[in-house]
Amino acid sequence: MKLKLENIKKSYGAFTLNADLELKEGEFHTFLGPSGCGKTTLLRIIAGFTAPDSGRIYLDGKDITEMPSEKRNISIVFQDYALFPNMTVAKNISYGPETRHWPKERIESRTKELLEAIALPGYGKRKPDTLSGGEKQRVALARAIAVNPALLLLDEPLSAADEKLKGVLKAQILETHRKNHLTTIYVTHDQEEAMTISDRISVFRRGNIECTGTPQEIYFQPRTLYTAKFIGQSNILKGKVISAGDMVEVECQGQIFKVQNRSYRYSAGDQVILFFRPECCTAAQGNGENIIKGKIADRTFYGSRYTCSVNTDCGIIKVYDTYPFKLRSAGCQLAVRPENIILFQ
Amino acid sequence: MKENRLLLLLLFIVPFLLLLVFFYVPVINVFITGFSKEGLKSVLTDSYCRSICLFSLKQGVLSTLLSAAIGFPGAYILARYTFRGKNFIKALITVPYVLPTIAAVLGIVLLIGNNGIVNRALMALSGAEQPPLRLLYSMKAILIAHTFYNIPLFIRFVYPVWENIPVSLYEAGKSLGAGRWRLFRTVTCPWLLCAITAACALIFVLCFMSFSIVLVLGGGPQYSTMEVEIYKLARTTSNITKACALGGIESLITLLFIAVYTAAGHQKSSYPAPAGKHGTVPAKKLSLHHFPALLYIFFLILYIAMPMVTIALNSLTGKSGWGKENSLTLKWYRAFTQPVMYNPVLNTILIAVATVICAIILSLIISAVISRWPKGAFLIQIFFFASLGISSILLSLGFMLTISKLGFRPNGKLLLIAVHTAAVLPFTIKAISLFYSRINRRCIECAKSLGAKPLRILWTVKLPMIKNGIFTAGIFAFAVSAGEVNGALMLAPEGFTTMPVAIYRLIGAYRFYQACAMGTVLLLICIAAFYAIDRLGEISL
Repeated sequence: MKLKLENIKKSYGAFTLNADLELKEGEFHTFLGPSGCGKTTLLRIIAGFTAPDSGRIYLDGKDITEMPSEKRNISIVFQDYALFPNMTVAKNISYGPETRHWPKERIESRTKELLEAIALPGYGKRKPDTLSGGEKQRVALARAIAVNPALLLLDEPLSAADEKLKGVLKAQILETHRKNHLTTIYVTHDQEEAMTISDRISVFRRGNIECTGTPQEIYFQPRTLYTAKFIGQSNILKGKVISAGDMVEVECQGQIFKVQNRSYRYSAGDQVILFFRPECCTAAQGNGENIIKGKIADRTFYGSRYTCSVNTDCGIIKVYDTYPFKLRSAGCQLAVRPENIILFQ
Repeated sequence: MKENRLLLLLLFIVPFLLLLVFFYVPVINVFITGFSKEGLKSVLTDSYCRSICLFSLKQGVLSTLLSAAIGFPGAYILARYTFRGKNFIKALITVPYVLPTIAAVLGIVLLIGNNGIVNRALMALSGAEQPPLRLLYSMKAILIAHTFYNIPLFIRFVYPVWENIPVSLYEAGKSLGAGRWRLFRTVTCPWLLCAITAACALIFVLCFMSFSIVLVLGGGPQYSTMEVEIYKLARTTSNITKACALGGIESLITLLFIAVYTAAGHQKSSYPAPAGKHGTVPAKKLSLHHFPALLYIFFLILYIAMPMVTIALNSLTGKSGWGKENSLTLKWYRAFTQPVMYNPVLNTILIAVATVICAIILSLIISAVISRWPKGAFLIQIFFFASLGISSILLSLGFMLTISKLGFRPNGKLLLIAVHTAAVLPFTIKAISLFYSRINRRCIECAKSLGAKPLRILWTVKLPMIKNGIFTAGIFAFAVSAGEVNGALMLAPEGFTTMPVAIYRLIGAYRFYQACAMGTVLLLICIAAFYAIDRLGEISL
């Protein structure tokens, strides 16, 4: 189902949440941001646990802003799973169908089907406190989807899991999403999680949605400097526009950078910020556009690659290298393609 | 969302009004009358009243000091040693929590009375014809009874704190060259200070307000406390104004010490918890080399268990005829087929069950409000916990005063239920709100998101999660109500006798065997209650 958030506002003291967002049917959308940026608050507003100060929420075109949470048909999975400790696994899963007064046979077959889907077929009679973290998470997921919700909300469901388990659970969440074609909102502060799991990501900052886009758009063409800095590693240099045509020429500590002009909003004399990712920076030889000379100051091993900090006239530039090294410690040249550089004011 | 809050607010008005009518109005009435010019003059100009005030303070201070001094080694042994039967000792020191005072008084009379077990044993050993120990009706008897109750209380307060002192503090001290004495002074004592202060403040309040112990073991005007005097003034001489003045002064002193207790308890809870079992000093195994500790444990068991054992044994003995020796018999229990014996049991159960129902319903509403309105929790707790500082005698006096002003007499049983409910309410609120606060809010939200309405959430999620709290509170309320004697003596209607009152009257009539049978039944009810609480949950303040 489609979800539309229109001018949602919610204030807590000095903090204000503002949100305008549209989710497509069957989309896996992630709210990404640091702690306290408002992503969980927005999730709770969508679920109906918190009332917005103003704004409307539409689910498949229907205004649900005033609708009580129990009537919205929006399921949620929490970070701590929130399984009912007094009920068995099967009772937890069948809670929603029982509340909706499904026929007994249908409840039983749905519970059985879901227990099998989450690979816990013999666990029906067990109590939640006898389950491992991963098992609890799967039961919570099964409980949430048992009623075929219009929208599935996942509030940092992997934050308590270790790295190995995260991979397994992530696959389970994606499989559930695809099988049921559920419109899903996933809240996390983990960029890697967001990148690997989402159709689209909304990056949050101090109560505002900084930008929304696919993981590729967010990573390579961030619309704001905050997003550029928040996600992945980045090189950020300060410069001054010398000329602006199809290419913008920027001077940075004596080094001239040519940058593809995307917005045509810069003119000579403007102070700008250049941004490019370390992987957009390659070892180069000879002369050409955007060649930077420098010396390697530090090389850090990250398993599949090394991250090198190169001391240049413009400042420290981060660049990736693999063994055998293409960048020499004594002196090296780096090149960045004009289309890989983004300018911010 | 807003509708639920409104409903809860409307529900909250019920306990609020009930407490206002059945607690605050009578208590404020006592204060107004007591602190009037006439009331204060009647106490301050009366040398007997002044001496009673001083005696109340004196016996309270002495009882507290004695309990702390005797309990301190016990706390040390439980904190630092491990031995077979340690769990039994831990359970034993919890029993006085729920033991009705009148039952303990009966046990102590049978133990240290002129014809008691101790005197008979000493006479048999020494061949003396007169009892060598004349302890009854003296300060000594009061102190023995108070220490019987409060040594376990002191140990129970102090040993868990002692046990939890982080070993790293001792290791840091040792590495800096501190010896045992310096470590005790600089690490152990500061760590224990708040627990000891809290325990002493509570013990003082309990002893200062002690009623049935002083009434029976004090034996007369020479050893009377303010609490007993209020009862006598109200019931015997009908000098209500003077009783109110004494009650008012007593309450002020009590509230002061409750404030000390609360502050010390708050300080205690702010200590960091050590990192699990391995973060504390490992307990040593107790062996024959630790003879003084073994001797202490032996006497502690004897001291706590003897009054109870004595009651139980006495209830099973009796003479089969004139001039015959004592032998085992069940005849005192067979007497429970007669109305004079079974009526008090039925009355006690009636009042206790009604108290449980009232206390649980009120506590559930108050706990729900506290959980929904955490900012106001402090104010709500102050409002509903005020009964801690007010004795049942004073509250009963308040009822008598208010009734006399209103000019009509409501049902005495109803008033008794109100007094008992007010007495147990702080404990039941604490027990239920403890479980209430542990409910994972997200479980409620999950249930809502799955379509459950408030009533279904209450029935399927909330109540099952707090059921242990409800049982704990209910059992505790039952045990306290069943053992309460003060309110029953003041307010019970003519011909309506509860078990503790029946025991008190049987002691007064020197019918000790019947008293013991009644006491044993009461004891069993309370011990069963204690056992159930121990298995289900926790009661603390």
